[in-house]
Amino acid sequence: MPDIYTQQTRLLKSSLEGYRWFSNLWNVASSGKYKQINIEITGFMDANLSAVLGGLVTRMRSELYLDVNLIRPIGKDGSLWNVLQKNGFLESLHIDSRTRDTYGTTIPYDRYEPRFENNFMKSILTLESKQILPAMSEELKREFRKNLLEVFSNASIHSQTKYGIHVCGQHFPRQHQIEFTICDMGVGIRQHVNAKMGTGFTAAQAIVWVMDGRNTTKIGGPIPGGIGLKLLREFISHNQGKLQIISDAAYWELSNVGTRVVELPDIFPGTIVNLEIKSNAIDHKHYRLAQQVTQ
Amino acid sequence: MNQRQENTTHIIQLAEVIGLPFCVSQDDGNAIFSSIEAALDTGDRVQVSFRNVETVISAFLNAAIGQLYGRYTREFIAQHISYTETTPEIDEMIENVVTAAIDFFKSPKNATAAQDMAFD
Repeated sequence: MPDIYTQQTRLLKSSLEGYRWFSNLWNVASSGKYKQINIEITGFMDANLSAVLGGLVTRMRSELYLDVNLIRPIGKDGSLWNVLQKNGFLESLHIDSRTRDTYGTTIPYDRYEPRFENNFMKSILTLESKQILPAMSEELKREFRKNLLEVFSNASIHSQTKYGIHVCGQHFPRQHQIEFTICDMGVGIRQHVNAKMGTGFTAAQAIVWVMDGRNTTKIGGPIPGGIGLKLLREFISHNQGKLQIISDAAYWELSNVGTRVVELPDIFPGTIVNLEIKSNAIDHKHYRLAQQVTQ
Repeated sequence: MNQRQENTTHIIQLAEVIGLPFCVSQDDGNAIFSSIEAALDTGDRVQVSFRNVETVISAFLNAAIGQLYGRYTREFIAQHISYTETTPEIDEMIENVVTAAIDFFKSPKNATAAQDMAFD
C-alpha cells in the first residue's frame, strides 16, 4: 500500500470546480490509506483560497496526523509561491518565510479562534487603514466590513470548530473585485441544522433552509437569530457580487443570475463562505441606489 | 424608595462597557443583556448609548436586545429602554432585530427557553 499521495492541479479558482478539488483532497486524505499528502499546484490558485487550504491542512495535520506538504513549483510556475509568501500563508503553516507585498494586492491569510470577533474586526480595520483593501466608498466599506463580521460570527456561534476560523482575501484590481473567504473546519451546516431542528435534510437542503432568511437554528434557545444571513444576501444582491457557500456535500451560490445549488460527490469537512464584491464606482452607484430604494 | 427606583435611569455606554468601538460579538451582547436585565428587574429604566460605536452586527444585537423580548413584554421594554446616539443604519438594525425577536418568541418553545434561563 502506498504511503504517499500527491494531489495535483494546474489551476484552482473560487469556482465549483475548485471547491470540488478541495473536497476530493479531504476525501483522499481521510481515507486512512496514506501517511503523507503532497499538494502540488503547478499553475495558479486564487489567493483567497488560502483560507480553505489552511483549514484543510490544519485539520489533516491535527486530526489525521498526516504529514502534509505543499510542493514548491519550479521555474516560471513559481509565482503562486510568491503570492503565498506575501499573504503570510506559507509562514503561518511553517512552510516558508513571509515576503513583502510590493503591489499591495494580497489580503493576508489568518487564523482565529471562535469568539475572537473583536480581533477579526481589528484586523479588518488595519487592512482599511493601510489601504490594503482597495479604495471603496465609506458606505460600501462599512457594509463589507459588517457582512464579513456577520459571516465570522456565524462560524463562531454555530460551527463548533476545533481547528479555527481561517480567513483570506485577494484584490483583483483589473476586475475591480475583491474575493474574501472565511472557512471553518466545524460540523457543517447539514449536521448543525439536523441536530438542532430534528430534520433529515441533505447538505443542499440544509443550506437552502438557512439561507431562506426566515429560519434560524437558535430555536429553543434564549437568543433569537436569523438576520445576519438575510442581510448578507441583500448586501451581495445590491452590490451585484457573488456569494458562495460550500458545506458538507453541497455548493450554494447567489449571483446576479440567481441562486443555484449543486450536490458534491465528496464531503467538505466544514463550511466555506466566499464573498465576491465589486469595489468600483459603477457598482457602488448601483449599491447606493439599491439602498435608497429600500429605505 | 419606590419613587427613587422608578425614576432611576441607567446609562449604558456600549463602547465604554465593551472597551472597543465595535458591537460585533455575541459574548459582548450577552454581557450587555445582563446589565440591562439587572436594571430592569429592579424597575429602573435603561438608556443604551451608541456613542463612539463604529460597527454593529446582528449577532450582538440579538444577544443584547433581542433576548430581552423573551423576558419582558413589548410594552414594558418600550417604557423602560431607550436608545441614544444611534445612526439611521443602527436604528434600522435595531428595528429588524426587534421584529425578528418578537416573531421568534411567538414560539412557545423559545419563550419557555428564555424564561427557564431567567430562573436558572
